[in-house]
Amino acid sequence: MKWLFQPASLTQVTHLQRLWLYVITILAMAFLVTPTLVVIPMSFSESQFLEFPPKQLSLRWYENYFMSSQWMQATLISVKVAILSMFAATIIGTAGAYALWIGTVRFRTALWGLFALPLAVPVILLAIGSLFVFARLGLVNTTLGLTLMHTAMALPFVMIVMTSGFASYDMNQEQAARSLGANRVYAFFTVTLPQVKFSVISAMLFSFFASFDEVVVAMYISTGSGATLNRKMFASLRDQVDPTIAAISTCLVTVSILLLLISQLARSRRAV
Amino acid sequence: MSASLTSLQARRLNHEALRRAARRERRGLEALLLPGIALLVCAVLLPIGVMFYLSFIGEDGSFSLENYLRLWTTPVYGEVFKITFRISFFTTIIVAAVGYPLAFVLVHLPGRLQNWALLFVLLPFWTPVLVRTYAWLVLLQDHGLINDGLISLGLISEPFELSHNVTGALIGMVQIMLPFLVLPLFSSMKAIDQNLIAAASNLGATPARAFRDVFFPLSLPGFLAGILMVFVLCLGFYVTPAVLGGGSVIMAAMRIDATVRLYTSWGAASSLGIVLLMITVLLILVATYVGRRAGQGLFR
Amino acid sequence: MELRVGKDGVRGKSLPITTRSLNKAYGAFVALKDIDLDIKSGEFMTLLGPSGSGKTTLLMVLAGFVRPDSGSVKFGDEEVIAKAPHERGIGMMFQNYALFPHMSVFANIAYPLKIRKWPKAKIATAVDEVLATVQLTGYQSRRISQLSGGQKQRVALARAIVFKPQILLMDEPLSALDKNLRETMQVELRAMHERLGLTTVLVTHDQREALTMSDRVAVLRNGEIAQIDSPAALYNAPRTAFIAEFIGESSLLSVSLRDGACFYRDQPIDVADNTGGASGLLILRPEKLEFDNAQRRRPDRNYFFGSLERVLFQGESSLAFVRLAGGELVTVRRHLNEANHEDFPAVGSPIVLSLHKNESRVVRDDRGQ
Repeated sequence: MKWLFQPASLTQVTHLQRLWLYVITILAMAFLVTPTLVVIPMSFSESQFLEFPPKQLSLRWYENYFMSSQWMQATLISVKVAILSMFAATIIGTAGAYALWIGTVRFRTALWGLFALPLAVPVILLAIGSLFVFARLGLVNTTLGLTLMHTAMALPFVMIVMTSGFASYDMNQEQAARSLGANRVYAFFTVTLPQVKFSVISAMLFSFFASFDEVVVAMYISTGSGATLNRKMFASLRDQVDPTIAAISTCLVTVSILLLLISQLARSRRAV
Repeated sequence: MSASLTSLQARRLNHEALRRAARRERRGLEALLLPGIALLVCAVLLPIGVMFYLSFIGEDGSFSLENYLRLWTTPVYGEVFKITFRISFFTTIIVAAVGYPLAFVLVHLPGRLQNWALLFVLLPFWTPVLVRTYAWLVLLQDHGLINDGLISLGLISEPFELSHNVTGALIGMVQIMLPFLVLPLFSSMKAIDQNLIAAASNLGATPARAFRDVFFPLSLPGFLAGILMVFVLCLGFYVTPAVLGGGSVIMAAMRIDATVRLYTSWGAASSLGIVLLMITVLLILVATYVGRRAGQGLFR
Repeated sequence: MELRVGKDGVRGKSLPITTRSLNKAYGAFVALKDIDLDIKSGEFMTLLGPSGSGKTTLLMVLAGFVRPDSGSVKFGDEEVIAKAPHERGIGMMFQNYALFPHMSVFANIAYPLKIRKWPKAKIATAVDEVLATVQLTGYQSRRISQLSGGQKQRVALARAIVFKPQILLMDEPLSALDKNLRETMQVELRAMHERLGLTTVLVTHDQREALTMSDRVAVLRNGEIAQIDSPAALYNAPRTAFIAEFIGESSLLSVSLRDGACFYRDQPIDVADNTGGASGLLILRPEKLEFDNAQRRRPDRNYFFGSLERVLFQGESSLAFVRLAGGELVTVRRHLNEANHEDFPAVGSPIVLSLHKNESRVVRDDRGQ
C-alpha cells in the first residue's frame, strides 16, 4: 500500500488524497461495462426466462438466430446499408471537410451549420419527415432510401473527425507537393490522404457504426422483409423479452470487443 | 496627372485574368461540397421542410394554426415538454457529475494503464444502444437480475420498481450518454499543459487552488461542449426511454411517434416536432454564443 | 544546355524573374504595393523584412500559392501570373522542410520525377546524383524521422533541385536549425548556388543571413521595397533610418541643415552624403566610431563629446555606452587585443569619439511610418 502515500501529481497530492476519485472512477467504469457484459452469460442459458447465472447451458438461442431466415435477412440488410453508408459518408464528408478547411469557399459558416445539422435535429423528426418524402419517391423499404438517411446522419461525425485530422496535418506538405509539379488532386491523394489515414479509418468506423446503431429512422422507412436487424430487435424487445436478442447482442458485443482490441494492439504497436 | 493614370492602369494589370483564376479555384473547391449539400437537402432539409409545412395544415386540409394552438392549450403537451426537459436535465447533471471525475482520473493515469482504462469507456460507446438498453431491461425489470438477486439474498421481499418508470429511463440514459461526455472531455483535458499546474503551484497555489484557477477553467470549454451535446441528444432521445420508461415516461420523441403511429395525426406530430427542433436549435445557438462570450472572458 | 547535377556539375540554365505592379490586399491590410522587382538570371536575391512586411507574400506570389489582386510575374519572357503552382516548374524549400513523413528519402526526392513520368532507371540515377551533391549518398532508404535537422535540410534541397528547375525559392529554410548548424548551412547553400547557378530567391527575417548569402537584398517594409542593393551597399550606404536600424547596429543622431551645412547641436559636421533634408539623422555604426583624443584633431574626422556610462564585455569585443552632450546614448564597439585589453577609462570619465567624414551619412527619418 506504499503507493497510496506517493505523489499522484506535480502538485504532490498523494494517491490517498485522491482515493475518493478512484472509487468514483471504478464504480463508473463498472456501471459502464456491466450491462454490456451481462448479456453474454444470459445468451447461453437453456431457460426461456431470465436466469443468472444460467442453470443449464445451451446454444438454442444462437440456433434460433442463425437458423432464422428472417433474422439473417435483417442482419444482411443492416450490414449492407452500413457498408454503403460508410463509404458514402466518408467520401462525401471528407470532400466537404477538405473544402471547408481550405476555406476559400463562400458561406463557410452557413455550410458548417448545414453539415452539422443532422446532429441537432431530433431523429424522430427525420424519421417521420423522410417517410413522408420517400413515400412519394418510392424510396420506402429500399436500400437506397435507408442509405441516404444513414449517410446524411453520419456526415457530422465524418466532418468532425476529418477536420481535426486536417487540423493536425501540416498543409505546407500539400504546397510542397504542388511546387514539385503535382496538381491539387494528385497532391491530395499522394501526400495529404496517406497522412490523415487514421482519421479516415475512424471516420469510416464512426459512419459504419452510426448506421448499424440507428433504430428510429429504420423503424419508419424499413418494414417487413426490408427491416434492419435493429428494427427487428426493437420490435421484439417491446413485445416480449426474447432471449434470442441476448444471443444477437452477444454477437454484436463480441465484434465490438474484437475491433477495440485490434485498435488497442495497433496503437501500442505504433507506440513502440 | 499622367503618373497617377499609369499607376491606375498598373493596378488593373492582369486583374481580370487573376479574378477568373481565383473564381475557377473557388468553384473547384465548392464542387467538392455539392454532393454533401445535395444529400443534406434531400435527406434532412426536405423532410424538415415537409414537416414544417404539415404543421400548418389543419384537420380539414387547409392552412391553419390549430396544431400550434392545440400545443398551447392542451395541458398534456405542456406536460410532455416538462418531462422531456426534466429527464434531460437530470441525466445531464448526473453524467456531468460522474463524467468529470472519471475523465480527470483517466487523464492522469500512466500511459499503458490509461489505454486499458479507456476501453471501459470505449466498449459501451461502440456497443449498439439497443443492446445496452436490452441489457438494462434484463437487469432492472421486476424479475430481473438485480431484484432476483436481492430477493434471493433475503435483503428485500418485494422487488424494487426499477424499470418502466423514470428511474429506469434515467439509469439507462446516463449509461448511454456518459461516453459522449467523457471522450471529448478526456481529449480536451489531455491538451492541458501540466507545466501550468506546476507553475500555479510554484506561485503559491494549493493543489485545490491550482485545480480551481488553472486546470478547471482550461477544461471548461470541452466540458461545456460535452454537456451541451448530451443535453441535446437527450431532448430527442427515443429508444432507451421508450423501452426502460415503459409507457409511464412519455418524452417528446415518444409522443411524436405515438401521434403518428396511433392517431395518424401528421399535423399534430409535425407541430410537436418543429417546436422540439426550434428549442434544440435555439439552445445550441444560445449556448454557442454564451460560450464564446464566456470563453473570451476566460482568456482575457 | 541541360543542367547536370553532380560533383562536376556545370552551371545550368536559369531564368530571370520580373515582377510588375504586384498588388495584394487582405481586406484593409495591404500586403504588397506596386512591387516592381527585377531578378537577374542566376542571381541570389534575398527578400528581407520584419514580419508583416510582405516578404513571404511576395515569395508565395512567385510560387503561385498566393494570387495577387493584379500585376505581372515573368520567368524569362513567359508570363506566369495565371499559372497554377504545379505548372511553374520552380524548386521550393519550405519552412520546417515539408518533407513527406510517410515516404523514404528516395521516395521524397523521386516524387517530382515520378510526376514528370521519368523512366525508373533514370529516376534512380538522378536521385543518386543529387544525393551525392548534398553529401547524403547511401541515405536513400532512410525514413524522414530518422534524419537530423541538417540532413532534412539537405534532403529538402535535393528534392527541390532534382527535377532541374530554373528557379529556386526558399522560405526561411534555415529557421528551424540551431545557430551553429544554420551558419554552416548558409555557407553550403551559398556554395551550392554558385555551383548550380540557379536564380534563387530567399525569404528571411535574419539580416545576417541575408548579408551572408545574397548577391542582392531587397528590404521590404509595409508591402513596399524600401531599398534594394548589394549587401555591402545596404550596410554602408543605407538610404533611410529604417534600413540603418534594420541592417546591423547603429545609433542615430538628430542633425539639422543650416545654410548648406550640417550641424549636431551647434557643432558643424562634415558629411559624405546627405539625403535627410532639413532635419535628418546621422548614422553612427558602433564599429566605425573610435575612442579619440581631443588634443590631436584630424581634419578628416568629426568629433563627439560625452561620458562613458557602461562597458559590456562580449568576448572578441567590448561594447561601450557613451552618453553624448546632447543626451543621446551611443554604442561603440572595440575589438580587443593585447594592446587595448583593459585600458578603458573609468566609468563616468569624459570621452571623445570620432567618425571618419566618408562614413558620415545623414538619412531621412522614416522610423515612425
